[in-house]
Amino acid sequence: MVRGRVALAAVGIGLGFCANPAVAQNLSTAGGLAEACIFRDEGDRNFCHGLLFGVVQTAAIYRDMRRRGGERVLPPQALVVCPPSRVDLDDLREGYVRWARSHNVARMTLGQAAFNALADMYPCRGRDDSIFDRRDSPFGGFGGDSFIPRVGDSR
Amino acid sequence: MKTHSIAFLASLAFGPALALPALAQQAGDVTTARDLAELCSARDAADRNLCNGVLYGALITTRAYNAVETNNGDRLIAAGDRIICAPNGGISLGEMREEYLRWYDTEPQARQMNATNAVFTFIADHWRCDNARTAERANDPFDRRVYLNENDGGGDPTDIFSDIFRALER
Repeated sequence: MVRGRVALAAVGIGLGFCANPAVAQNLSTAGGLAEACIFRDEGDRNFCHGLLFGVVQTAAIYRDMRRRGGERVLPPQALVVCPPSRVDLDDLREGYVRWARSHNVARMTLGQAAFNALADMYPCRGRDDSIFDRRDSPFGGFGGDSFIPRVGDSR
Repeated sequence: MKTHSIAFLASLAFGPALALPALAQQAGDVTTARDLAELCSARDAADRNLCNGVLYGALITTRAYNAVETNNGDRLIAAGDRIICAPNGGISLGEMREEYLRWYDTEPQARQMNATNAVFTFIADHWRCDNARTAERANDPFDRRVYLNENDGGGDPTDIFSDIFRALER
């Protein structure tokens, strides 16, 4: 069993994303992603949908991941994102936008925000939030953006 | 730029099935690794952007789980247990997309995978951790190819994204 506080260290991902010129937004930020999620341009919205779904599906893989002997790789209290049996794309997108608007996301990277938002939207049963200190020390100790996709060739 | 209809369809026990927009002139939903490859190589930028998002969302999630640490300094996923270790250097979404396409073309089992499993396996193959455990036991902590295939379509209650059809035409 995992004891003590767990700090979700920084995902540390910034995304320099050459978005639709009509928007010209920087999708490396949480706010930029929220804008993409509500923008009418299909390309931006597709990126929003894809990213959020990519997070959800991968979180589900971690949730269910077992060793060959059947033991779970991650104990239940350590799971962060547990999507329900049904997830609606629009709900996913709107949920993220609501979350971004109600949190101070100015200093969050896109990855930090997406992961935290989905952790709040789809908390795992039995998750010990006291060990996931995402609020007090959301991304401490990870050294900042260390994985930065290059700008300009995303589309 | 065309509009899409996105449907999420259940297809496996292990994780969520992924259904992506139907490609131009094709009625079917994108649920397989092949479908995703077609999306990633689509001429339409909006299609490719969905591919970008899926791959990137999956990648950042693996990094998030790698980064979780306890207050005593231990990582929740021990270094030896990590499956995916993305580099610190930069990467482009376009390159990642191209790498997925290369992986799809060269991975013998890719054509039997659904999109969800393919994305995870691609990332795990492409950014395999260089640690003792993975070196010793190639695909530990679990053999993802065997595991994913064995659990594909088994009707497990963890099946998610089932029966969701959501038109996104705007």
